[in-house]
Amino acid sequence: MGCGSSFPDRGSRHMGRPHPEDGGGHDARNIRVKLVLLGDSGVGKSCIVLRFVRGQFDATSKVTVGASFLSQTIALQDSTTVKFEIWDTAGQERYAALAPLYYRGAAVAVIVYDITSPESFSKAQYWVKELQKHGSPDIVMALVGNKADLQEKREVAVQDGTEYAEKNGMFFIETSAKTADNINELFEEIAKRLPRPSDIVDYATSKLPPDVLAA
Amino acid sequence: MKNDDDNNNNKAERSKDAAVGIPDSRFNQTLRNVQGLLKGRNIPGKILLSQRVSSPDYSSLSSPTYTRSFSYSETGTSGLTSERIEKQAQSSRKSFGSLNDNKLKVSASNVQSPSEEVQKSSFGARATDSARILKFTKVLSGTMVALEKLRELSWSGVPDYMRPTVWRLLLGYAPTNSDRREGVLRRKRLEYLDYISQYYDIPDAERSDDEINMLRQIAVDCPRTVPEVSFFQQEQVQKSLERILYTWAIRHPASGYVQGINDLVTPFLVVFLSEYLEGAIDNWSMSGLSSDQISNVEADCYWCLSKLLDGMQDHYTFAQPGIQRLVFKLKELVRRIDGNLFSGLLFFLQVIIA
Repeated sequence: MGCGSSFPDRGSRHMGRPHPEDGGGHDARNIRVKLVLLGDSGVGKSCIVLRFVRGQFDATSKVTVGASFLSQTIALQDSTTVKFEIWDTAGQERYAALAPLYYRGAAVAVIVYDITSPESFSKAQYWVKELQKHGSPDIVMALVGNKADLQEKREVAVQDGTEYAEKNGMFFIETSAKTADNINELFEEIAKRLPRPSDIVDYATSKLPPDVLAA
Repeated sequence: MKNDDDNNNNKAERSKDAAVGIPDSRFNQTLRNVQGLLKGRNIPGKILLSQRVSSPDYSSLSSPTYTRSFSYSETGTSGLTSERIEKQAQSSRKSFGSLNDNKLKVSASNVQSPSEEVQKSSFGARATDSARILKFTKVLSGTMVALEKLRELSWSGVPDYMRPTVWRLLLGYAPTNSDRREGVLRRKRLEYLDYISQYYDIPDAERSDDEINMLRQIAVDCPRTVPEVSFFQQEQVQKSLERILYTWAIRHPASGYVQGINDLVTPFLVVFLSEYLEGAIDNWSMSGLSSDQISNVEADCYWCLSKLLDGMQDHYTFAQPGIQRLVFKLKELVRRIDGNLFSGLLFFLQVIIA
């Protein structure tokens, strides 16, 4: 796995290279992406992040209020690095009004449900629709069925997840933050699906207001 | 989409707020305090609390660091007397709610001379100081509790065993008039019991879909509340939290339960349970308490939570206008006090969020 997590540090080389509205800031070998996690309350969004960033799991982790932020860098086989700036949102309905604040400009959206809860699967579909309407058009979306370790309590068939994801052009995976199953795979797969530097015009510095660039 | 419309409305509301509401006295007060802090002054509770004082008298502010160390050395030399005073104050702890004046006069006159000494030296010192305990006892034992005085005293901390009483008073739950206090509390606690049977102890079939959802959300969140303290992992504790939160949510439909409110109940629960449970919280168990005791604790939590949230319910209503307003004020404050920091932060946020 990549290097440790941190709040993006002021002195980093990225300071001079803010990323554009639609997502990643890129130079040849280092990609920086904003990723947002959405999904029903208690499906394990924070646990997925914690597992990915710190390699930890806590069955009784705290309720997320508003949103929390963590980042993690991974190195791909072609020796590019991808730094995920992860916005982990609160799942409760009341906070849905704030969600646009977090998914605005996100290059990646990870929509999570709990395989033991059909309600959370419908909630996931709500988020997919919301992003299709209001997210950036080339956002990479992943549908994640979490708590895959609870096979005996499963209420959402793998098939359902696969089909829905396929229909909506999403990448689908089932994970377990508890056993760490497929967590790294999820983020590696996302990294592979990101637009490469060669695919995009480098307009990283062109879209910000002049006063920000001058600051 | 509806959300966006609402967001826009809020933005409009906010900028209106900016034009009209910002130069209010409270804001300027805070601004002055922060400026004072930046100039190396300390912010004592006195200033923050005395909004009615038009021009805060900075000259009267003593340096807490100085007085504190002074009072420590003083307690060191007169440790015996302080200890005695503390013991005396503690002996009245169980009954100070209903303490009669005579009893107080006796204990006060007993310690008159040493107390004066300590009182002088420990101005602004910590809650454990015996002189402070005496002051608290004095304020609390009158027929009418002077809330302003109590608030001022409480700023630098409330002695642990007085905290339940002080919080109930400061939040406006317990009446300041001691003659009425017990009766009002008894009535409020019964009222809570009523709510429980009316809203909580009913079959799901009698709940609306929204109510079921809310209960489900609360049930999901209670086990995830203060998970790092083992006491909160006890099922009875989580059930108490659930009842308090659900009752509050049902009674406040404009906001309902919102994640984050769970964290506001826990201090109340700990403080009011401390009247029944002793020692470290890790060794606490609610199983030894009678159902009356539990429901009284829950009732106190419920009413205090209600009082606390009354002043900031718009933090939890749709799109959280209250929080947005505060964030805006904070932004304004930073801009006025430190322009460089402000543009730095703005730049940073652009990079992160954009």
